[in-house]
Amino acid sequence: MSATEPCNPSYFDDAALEAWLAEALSAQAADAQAQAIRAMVDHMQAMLVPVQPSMNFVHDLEQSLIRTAGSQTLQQRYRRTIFIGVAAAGSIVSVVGLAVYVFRQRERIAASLSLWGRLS
Amino acid sequence: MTEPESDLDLVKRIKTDPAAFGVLYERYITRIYNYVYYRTGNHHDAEDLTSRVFYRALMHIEEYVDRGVPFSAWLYRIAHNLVANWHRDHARRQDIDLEDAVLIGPATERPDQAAETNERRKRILAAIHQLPAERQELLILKFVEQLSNAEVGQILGRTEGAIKSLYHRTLLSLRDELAGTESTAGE
Repeated sequence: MSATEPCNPSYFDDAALEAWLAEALSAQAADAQAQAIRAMVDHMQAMLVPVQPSMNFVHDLEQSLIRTAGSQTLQQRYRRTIFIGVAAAGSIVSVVGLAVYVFRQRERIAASLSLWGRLS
Repeated sequence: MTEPESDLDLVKRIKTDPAAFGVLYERYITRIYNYVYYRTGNHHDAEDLTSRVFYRALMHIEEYVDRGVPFSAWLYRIAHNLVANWHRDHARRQDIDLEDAVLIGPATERPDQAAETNERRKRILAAIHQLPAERQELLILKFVEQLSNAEVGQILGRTEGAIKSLYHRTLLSLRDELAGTESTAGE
């Protein structure tokens, strides 16, 4: 199918249009005006028909998008793994740091106590 | 028979399965292409902008959250923004040539009838292009995409009632515009 070949127009809400025409147009001018609008809508329905993009374009773009989506998914996975790794390493460093701090504080307190004992 | 997977399920699946985006793409490529084609008027720009719509959708897919607005409406919003930028950049709304696509009369028409039909369609098309962008969009979504007022409302960010009223006002102004051009042509 060529790129400009129209598809078959499908259902259009004619009943709603008719109801509105009956409601919107005054009685004396209704026939002529409604006819003009109906004809205009018919022409628009015939003109504004769906077109098909070229098969090559559709296929090439799809392949390119799927490749991009794949690399994006991989990047996200790596990013997540790196994030989890950094967070875990950070936690370990914090725990070790806290343990060293507590250990040193204990040693300092023990040293102070022994000095105080000797002085007294 | 299994039900086709919903758009929302496909969006969720893209994080682990990139092929899910391909399903969404196949579902909407023709509709988005048509929308862009009728807003730009040529296949070259329609292909370029349609590509950009889907790339942008892919890059921002994590931002899509279903808050009552369907995925299709989100996609049309992207297309709307890109087309608006395109019109701003090119400043050539009048420079639209859709004649190849739209001036196709029935094969049974006599040449003189076909010429008359084409002439009338050209006038209608010119009148449509005089409309504000939102009204052109409305006509494309209703006639080309054949969407309901509710669906058009979701895309344009208006209520169903507002769309119905806008549609009717658009038809009336088009008719007036055409009556004006026909009387000018007849003089």
